[in-house]
Amino acid sequence: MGQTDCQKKAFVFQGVGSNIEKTISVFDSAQINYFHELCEAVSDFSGINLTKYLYDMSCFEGTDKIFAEWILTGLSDCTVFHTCIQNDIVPDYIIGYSLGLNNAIYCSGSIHLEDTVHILSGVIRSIIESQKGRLTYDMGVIVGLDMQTVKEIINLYSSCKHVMIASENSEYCIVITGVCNEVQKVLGKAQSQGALKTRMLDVPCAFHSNMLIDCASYYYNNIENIHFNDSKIPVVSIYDQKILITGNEIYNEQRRNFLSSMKWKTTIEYLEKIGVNEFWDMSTNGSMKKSTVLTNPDSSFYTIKTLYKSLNV
Amino acid sequence: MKEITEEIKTELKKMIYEFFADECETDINGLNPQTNVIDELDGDSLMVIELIETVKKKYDLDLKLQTVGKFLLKKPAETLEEIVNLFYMIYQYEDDIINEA
Repeated sequence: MGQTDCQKKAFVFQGVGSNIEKTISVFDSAQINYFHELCEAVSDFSGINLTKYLYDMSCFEGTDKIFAEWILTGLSDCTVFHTCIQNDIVPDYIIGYSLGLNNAIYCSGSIHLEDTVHILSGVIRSIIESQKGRLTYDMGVIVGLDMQTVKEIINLYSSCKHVMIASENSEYCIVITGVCNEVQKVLGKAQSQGALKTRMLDVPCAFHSNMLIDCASYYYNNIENIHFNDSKIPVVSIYDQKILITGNEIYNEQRRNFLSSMKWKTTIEYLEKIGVNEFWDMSTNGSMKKSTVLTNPDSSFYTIKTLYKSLNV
Repeated sequence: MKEITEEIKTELKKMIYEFFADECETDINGLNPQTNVIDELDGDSLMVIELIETVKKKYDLDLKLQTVGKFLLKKPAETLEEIVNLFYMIYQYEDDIINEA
């Protein structure tokens, strides 16, 4: 964890789906204060009382609950980012997994906090629109089978029109997206063919697939109203692995971050190739460390626990 | 079936305990055979995959990941004791482990 010149760091921001109570349970009092400051700021301009939600998680239901959970997950990552910067751990690059891009580019100075809420609001409105149709959607994860095998299962037992690859997280961790019962069917077949684990992600939407195209206008409209500044920290695209700095480049990445399949494995390999050997997980539960495989023996993942240990907390 | 010596057993057990202590950022002294890797250490199947790949390489084993997946469907392994026993069997039976489920 030393700060020598040859070590390059990438900060990795999580997507959604973490348990928020568990997520913030590791924070010390200073971090809790910072986290609550962010919550209050967001509550002011979003109309969603996040502080109230933290004390009573039954106070919201449906998409309001999803909205609150997703915002809070992002604010937790921003708190970890703030802690790292305060301790002179500064990234050379940042990447965001799925909706984690919003928090990554907020931390890099490309957008304002209010914009992250605006983007999420567009996502939520697109979800609501997609739920008006006759089909229900979800996502699932398959651990233990490679991409080719998963594609074969999809083609054999479902259809690439109903189930698509949302992300190749690593060689043996594939995320699929699509029509709910078709995703379930593929997971069942994957399990019987030797997957070590399969799980529905309980996401009410077929993110990262063009199945969302008919309701994506809310997402795109909200992005159009945001001004993207140049990023103070280079962002690496999880779609084509280009290094993004200008506001226009970040804007284009944000546009892709809804219907396109993520290339997480390729992005991690690219970062290692350009010399990144310290990967800092901005989640507090190690979710990015768990779902990412590093191939360079000199590379390591670091978490907030690593930071606490180094500070003897 | 390949013989497994006490020396190999000790080596495998040590490797597995060290691996989970490191991956889950927990004190190795707090681990015991009944420790549930999923519930108590917040571990997951991706960690098991990494461990399988490491053991395969170290002992030059002929084993498909899918075979282990099919074996685990019938004989799940969640505690450290169950995982250690799984790896003893992987070492002994390699890809034929499926016939032992």
